[in-house]
Amino acid sequence: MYTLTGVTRTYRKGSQTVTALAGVDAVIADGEWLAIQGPTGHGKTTLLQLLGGLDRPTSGTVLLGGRNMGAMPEAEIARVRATWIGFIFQTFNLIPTLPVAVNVELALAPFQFDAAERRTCVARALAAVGLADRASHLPAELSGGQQQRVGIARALVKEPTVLLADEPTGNLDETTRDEIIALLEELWRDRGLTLVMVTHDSTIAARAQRIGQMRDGRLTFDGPAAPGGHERPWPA
Amino acid sequence: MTGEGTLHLTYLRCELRRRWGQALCTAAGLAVGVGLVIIVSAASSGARNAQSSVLSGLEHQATSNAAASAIDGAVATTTGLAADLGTWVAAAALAASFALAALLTLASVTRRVREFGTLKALGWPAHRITVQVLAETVTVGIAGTLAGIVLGCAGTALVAVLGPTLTVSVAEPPGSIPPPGSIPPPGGTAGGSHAPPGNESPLAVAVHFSAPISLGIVALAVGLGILGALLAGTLGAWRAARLSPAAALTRTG
Repeated sequence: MYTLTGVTRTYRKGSQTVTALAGVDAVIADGEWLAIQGPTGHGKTTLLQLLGGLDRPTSGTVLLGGRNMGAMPEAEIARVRATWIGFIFQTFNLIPTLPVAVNVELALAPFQFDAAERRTCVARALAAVGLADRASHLPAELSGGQQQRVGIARALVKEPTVLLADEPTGNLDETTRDEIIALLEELWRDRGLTLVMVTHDSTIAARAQRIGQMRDGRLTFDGPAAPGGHERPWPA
Repeated sequence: MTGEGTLHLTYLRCELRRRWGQALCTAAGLAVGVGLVIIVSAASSGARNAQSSVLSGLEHQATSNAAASAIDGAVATTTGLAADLGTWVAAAALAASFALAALLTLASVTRRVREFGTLKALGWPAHRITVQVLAETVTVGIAGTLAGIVLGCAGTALVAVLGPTLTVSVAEPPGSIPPPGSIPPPGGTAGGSHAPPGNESPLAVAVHFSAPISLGIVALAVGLGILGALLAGTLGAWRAARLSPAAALTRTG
């Protein structure tokens, strides 16, 4: 799915140059579940943002399905995010004034669906995360675990190929954490997703097929890429 | 309506409900600006009408070219000064309301940086975010403009009710004979009486001042109100669309 070659990312911070990624080489297979661990500030989130096309490398290449994301024009990379990639955030990032169903529907905005199709997709996604009866609720009326389920439904409603999760259970208690991870695991297996998850939690990381350690902007693995085996062509 | 349009409308409605205080401030600012433009434009139009009435009345009474010329110059200067002052006040109020709308829109975008970062992560292209922010600001601008029209109409109605009756009096050059029908000035003479030598006999005309609204004035006010909202919205939309999604998502707060 992904091939990263010599990826660096540096930032200017005042008069200093900060190196977030210092040459990352990696292959992430189709359908693989990869957990990325490492201390805070060592480049995990930066790597996830590059995989999601939210940022571009300073040097090196990030290939998704064989195409260089760093060289894509902004409009095309937005289309890739809309079609291929689902994001799950630690802080859920739901829009507080929009009902749950509309929050999920936001992910369908880039597509030319009519209202009925949208409603069907949203209802299906909410049912998949066990929140079919909460469609009209506001995020503040839900627990943290339920809000993260809405975040997962929003990520999956467009049926992406890749799921990128940044500390998806970081704001949840242990019981809810286990429920969310069980749900993600089920969705990953049933839908053949490529799942890349940044986590501090070794219990969660241990459930992934492979663990990458991020330290000082470099990524090392505990084993070779674990192919899950599913392909999807680029959208026309 | 398409599903896309319904979604944008729902988002717009919920967002305005969340930021109703800020939307109210923006709309009120534009309403004051638009209202003042209407009142000043109508008053300026009223001043021109009064000028014509005064001139036609006094010129009718004046017996010399010199007097007519003096009347014309004095009234025109007074009307011009009043209109200029009003125009500057209205322009300043309008500029202030535009600036307020722009600042509030930018502040709103800054508060919603993470939200826009999330939308970008969901694959929203920049133009869709631009449309969303513009739609929000223009909706508030339309509400403010409508309120401004009501304010302007109320203001001009008040001028019509409270509007003073202007009495303009001009001294005739010595030796001229006031025509029959001129208004007798206080302490002076008119209606064919001759003033004592060395005294000037004044001419006077009374005109009721009002501020009539025309369709053109309303169209100007609507145009300016929408322009203000578009300028503010464009500024906010431009900032929202240019946000780096990575930076926006890592922003705290």
